[in-house]
Amino acid sequence: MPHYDLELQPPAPFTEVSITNFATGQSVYLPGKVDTGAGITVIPERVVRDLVLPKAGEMLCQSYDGARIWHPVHYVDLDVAGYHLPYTKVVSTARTYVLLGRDVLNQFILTLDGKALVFDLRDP
Amino acid sequence: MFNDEVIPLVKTLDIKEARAIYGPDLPSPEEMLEEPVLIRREGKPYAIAISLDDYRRFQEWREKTEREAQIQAQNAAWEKERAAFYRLKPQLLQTQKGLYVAVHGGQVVDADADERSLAIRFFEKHGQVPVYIGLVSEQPPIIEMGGPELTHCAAL
Repeated sequence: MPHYDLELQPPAPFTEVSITNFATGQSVYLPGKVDTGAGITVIPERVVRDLVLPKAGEMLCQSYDGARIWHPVHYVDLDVAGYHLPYTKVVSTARTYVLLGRDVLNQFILTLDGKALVFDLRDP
Repeated sequence: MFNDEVIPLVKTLDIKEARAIYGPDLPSPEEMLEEPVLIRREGKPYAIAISLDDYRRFQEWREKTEREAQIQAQNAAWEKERAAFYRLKPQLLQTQKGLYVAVHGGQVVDADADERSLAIRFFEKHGQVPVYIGLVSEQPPIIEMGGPELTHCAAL
């Protein structure tokens, strides 16, 4: 369910994300933060271990401070706000929740109402 | 070798028949929870009884160990495909520059200008096998990560 997480200051838009290893069918459910500043969706390294996700590439990522780091790439089935996105490319880093980047967000109509702290994610 | 010397168990239970485990010599459930119990049949180590909590911990450890072994094997196979990509890259720059390629079994098995189309085609054809999917370019593309997040706010 899309919602603003008020624990974060300032509050941030989150929605539930399911990550599935398409070969085994095993899934995990995690909160995913809508992050229009990210060029790619990021999953926690723990999920890679839990689902035994193989690497399929690597990507040079640049953080907000200009630091560049190579991160492993994986392909997973994502379910975001009720929409199924098979074979989605993601990178993994040491974090606790998912970052939904523009690669995924640009497949939706995303309406952010920061004043009311509500948002909507719909497939056109 | 599996014997009393290498397994420092405090309790042992000798049985001759299956029903003996229901006999009066069986440690109480409380005692069984305290430490593993070695069960011997005809004087030889036969099995070990452990508490359910210990068994659950053992299962978690075993699953974690198996997953780590799988990941190590996957990573080793992937490193070979990655090495093949970089070995082939000079000639790929001559023939497939600007395309994404899928390297599997040490050779390019497919290519496409659209990475997602290539990935879907590859995985639907081959399943989840070792592969390196990469862009044939002189410089790697740089992707933006997310911005900083405040972890706590100090009261002013």
